Amino acid sequence: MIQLSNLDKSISQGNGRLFILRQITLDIAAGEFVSIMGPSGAGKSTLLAVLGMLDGDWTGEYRFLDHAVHKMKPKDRVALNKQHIGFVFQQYHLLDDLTVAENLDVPLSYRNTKKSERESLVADTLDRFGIVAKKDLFPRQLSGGQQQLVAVARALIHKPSLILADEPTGNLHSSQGKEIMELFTELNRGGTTIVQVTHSETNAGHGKRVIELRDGWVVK
Amino acid sequence: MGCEMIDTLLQDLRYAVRKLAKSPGFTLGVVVTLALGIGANVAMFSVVDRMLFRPPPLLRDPAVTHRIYLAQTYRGKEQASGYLQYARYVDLTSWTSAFARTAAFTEHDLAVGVGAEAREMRVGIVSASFFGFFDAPPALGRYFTAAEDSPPDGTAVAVLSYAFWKARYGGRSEALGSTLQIGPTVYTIVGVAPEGFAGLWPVQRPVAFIPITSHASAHRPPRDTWWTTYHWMWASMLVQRKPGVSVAAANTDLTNAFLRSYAAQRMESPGLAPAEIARPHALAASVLSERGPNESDFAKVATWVSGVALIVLLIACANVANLLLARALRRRREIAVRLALGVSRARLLSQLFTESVVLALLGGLAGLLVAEWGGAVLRGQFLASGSQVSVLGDVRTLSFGGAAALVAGLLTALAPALQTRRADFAADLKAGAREGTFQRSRSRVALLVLQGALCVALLVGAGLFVRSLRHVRAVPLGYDVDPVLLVDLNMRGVQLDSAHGVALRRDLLETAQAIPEVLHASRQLTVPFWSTSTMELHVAGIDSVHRLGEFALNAVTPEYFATLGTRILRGRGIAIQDAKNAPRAIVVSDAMAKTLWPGRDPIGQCVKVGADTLPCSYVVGVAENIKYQHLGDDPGLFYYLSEAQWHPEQGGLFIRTRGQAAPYAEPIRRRLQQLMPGASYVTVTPLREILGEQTRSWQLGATMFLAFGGLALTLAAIGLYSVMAYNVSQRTQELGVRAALGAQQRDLVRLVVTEGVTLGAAGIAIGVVIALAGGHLLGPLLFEESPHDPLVFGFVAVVLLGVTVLASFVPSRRAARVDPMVALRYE
Repeated sequence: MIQLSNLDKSISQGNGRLFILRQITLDIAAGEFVSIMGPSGAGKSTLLAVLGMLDGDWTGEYRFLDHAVHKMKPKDRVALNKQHIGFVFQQYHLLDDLTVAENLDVPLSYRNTKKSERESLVADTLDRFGIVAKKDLFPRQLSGGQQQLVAVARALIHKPSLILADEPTGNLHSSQGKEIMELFTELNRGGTTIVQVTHSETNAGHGKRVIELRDGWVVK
Repeated sequence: MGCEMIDTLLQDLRYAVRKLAKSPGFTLGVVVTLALGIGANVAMFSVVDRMLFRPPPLLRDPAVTHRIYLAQTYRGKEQASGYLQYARYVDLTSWTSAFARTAAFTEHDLAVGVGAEAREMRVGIVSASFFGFFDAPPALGRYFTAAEDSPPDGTAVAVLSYAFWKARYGGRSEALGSTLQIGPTVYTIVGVAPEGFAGLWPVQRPVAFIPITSHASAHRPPRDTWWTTYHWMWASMLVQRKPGVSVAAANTDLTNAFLRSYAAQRMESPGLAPAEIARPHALAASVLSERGPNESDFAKVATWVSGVALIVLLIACANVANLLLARALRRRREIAVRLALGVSRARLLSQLFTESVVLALLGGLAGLLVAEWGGAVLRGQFLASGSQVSVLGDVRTLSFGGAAALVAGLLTALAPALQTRRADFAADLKAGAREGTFQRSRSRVALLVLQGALCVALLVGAGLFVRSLRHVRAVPLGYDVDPVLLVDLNMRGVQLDSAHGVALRRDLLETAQAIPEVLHASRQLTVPFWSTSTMELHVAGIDSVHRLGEFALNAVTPEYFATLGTRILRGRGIAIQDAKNAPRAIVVSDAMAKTLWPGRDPIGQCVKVGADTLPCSYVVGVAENIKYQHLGDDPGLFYYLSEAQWHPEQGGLFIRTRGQAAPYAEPIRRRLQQLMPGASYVTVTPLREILGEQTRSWQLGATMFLAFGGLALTLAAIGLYSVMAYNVSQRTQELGVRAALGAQQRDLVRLVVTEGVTLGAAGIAIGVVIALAGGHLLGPLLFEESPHDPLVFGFVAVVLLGVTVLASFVPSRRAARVDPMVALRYE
């Protein structure tokens, strides 16, 4: 599904450049559950952003489902992202002025989905995640775990084939975090490819493979 | 305690100044916004105060001093006039007991001086008792006495104004006893009025004051007993109530005297309507003519424009309140910490108000400069040209400016103060590092919608006035205006007998006709919207012609209709065969023909002009109707006599030139002036200028509403832009999340613009309701224009919507460029 080859990301710093990712070469197959680990500043979140096509400022090769992303225009990358990828953020990033149901609807509204279909998908997702009773609440009325649950639901509502999760349990209590990881495991069993960034060995244990980053290099 | 309060105030002041100095851009923006709003209001106050509120300087007892108006009912409609006959003034003075003093007065522009130094200047023409109304002892010499102001001729003595005495005579006492020609008469100077004295005319100050009787005797025909007859209405009357006499009692006293005087007039003119029909009554009104029953359209427009200026100030305040509110929202955490550290809410509010008031006072100072310089245009439009009005030198206007600034400061502080009271500071402390995270503020939205609504109301007013002006300009007058000049003769005391008067006018006409640029020239006795003449008419089979309406006349030469472009509909115009001893000819207007001979051929009908015993004037033609008194409903009852058969020694000329007449005015004046004897002179005025006075109130309304409406629109657009830009900057994270979730640039642009347009639409809807509700108040000032004209409303809505889209579009472009990665790391 994902093939990176000699991917570099750097930013200018004074007279030189600071490398955040160096010569990243890796493959991730469809249906895998991969954890990216490493110390702070290793470039984990940046790698995830590159994989999610949120960051386009890099060099090297990136193939996603046989599409040469490195050759694509930004508009085409956005279209590819919209079709296949769902992103779960550490800070949830729910929209404060929208209810839970409206938050779930946002990604669908950007994907030319008909209104009736959107309503149906939102209803199904609320039901699937057991948050029907919370559909009219605002994010500030939910606990951290509930907010992250909604964030995961939002990432999944358009049925992406790849989930990218950046420290999905970083701001959660351990029992809430366990619930989220079990949900990811279940999704992976259903065929969804999952790539997560995590500091937690326990969370990494839910996945099948660990990629370790150190100072921008893949070391394992 | 008092010292503590002063210390606290000084501390707040220092803190406010420091904070404002740290944000110079913000401070400048607020000060400029308030300066425009306050400046507009101060400028309008300087006009309206002089028109409607400020009593003339040095007037002894303004509260008990009145100008008299006489009202009569004519054809079922009551009409009041501030003008009366000298005989009436004498009657009212003699037959009332409610007044401590009375005076007669008028004012004219008269030629002052001789030769090259002669200039037309404003002269106060007053009775000797006039000066007793003022607390103004003469600076030099004396005022004229009652004996010097006795009819029929009075005495040729004059009192100079202080300013004129200083300018013309260098302030020397030798001016006393010297002579000065004013109009046709040479006056001896007997006194100088004190500095600041301007009679009833503080805006266009007279240079001198002359006895009313001397002026009358110089301007009336030699055998005219103007002081005992009632045919010449030319003066006004001033009265001062006795202590303890109410206005109602004074009015009753005046009315009784007026009834007695009216009866005396009927003995002289039996054709006058009986008192039971005319219902004459008198009233004592404000000294300021614009507050009397005949408030001019000018004054009405001035009042409206003041309201408009106030709305502009409200919009400016709403703008500033929005900016201050945004600052307060950004400082929520800081304020929460201060409260946690023990500051009281009252102290917090005091700081907020101090900051707002400092901004408003700075805005007020800048506003005074705006009013002084920019307001000169306003004053030039509403007050007479050459009026000496200054904002910076006037205590009343400065006080108004200060009060307006204070009110603006309090208003602009209100929203952030309320926000401070309402906020949940515990939650703000728990917000973590997310200081100033976007929070929709209902107050900001409400202020924005209010601005939009007020803008719509102003722009609708502007649109209605513009359409009125277009309608006015499209009114068919029945004659051409732009290619026509009016030539008026000012004899300035040069006495010509009838034969010489006729010869002079013949020479002027022939000379004018010989000028190459002149297409046609004609004699005239009256001028539309400038002078009217009416005579008694007698028509066979009609009992009382004057009951059918007021018939006005002109006496003209054969080229008149070609000169003015008035069409002859039937028969012929005045022709060369209508000479002095020929059968009398008359051309009537179409309306007059239909009124006097409905359904019959008017050609050949007999009309006796002046008296039933005079020979017939036979109708030889029917001319199209003309507008000569009102642009609106003018009955058009008009007729033309041959000048050779009707006072050829009076009147002036009309001249028609190739193209626009205005450029030819001065060369023609110089050419004709060569024919004038002695000190007499001609004035040549484009007819467009004369007509311009009629359209001036609509012109003014359109200009002022457009100017202020444009200012309001600019302020509202700036307000909307600043709110949208602020919103976008505060929503960076949200926009980044949306981009990460798949939003494209156009989705983000649409998001921002839709929000702006929604606010704009709400403002438009409310503004339309306000404009519809207030339309009936504006209605009387419009001309053939409905105050609910859907075209105007529609156009304004489209304009405001367009401005809203534009003001939202720029920030939306910034929203579209949000980098999701930067946004997601925003906190």
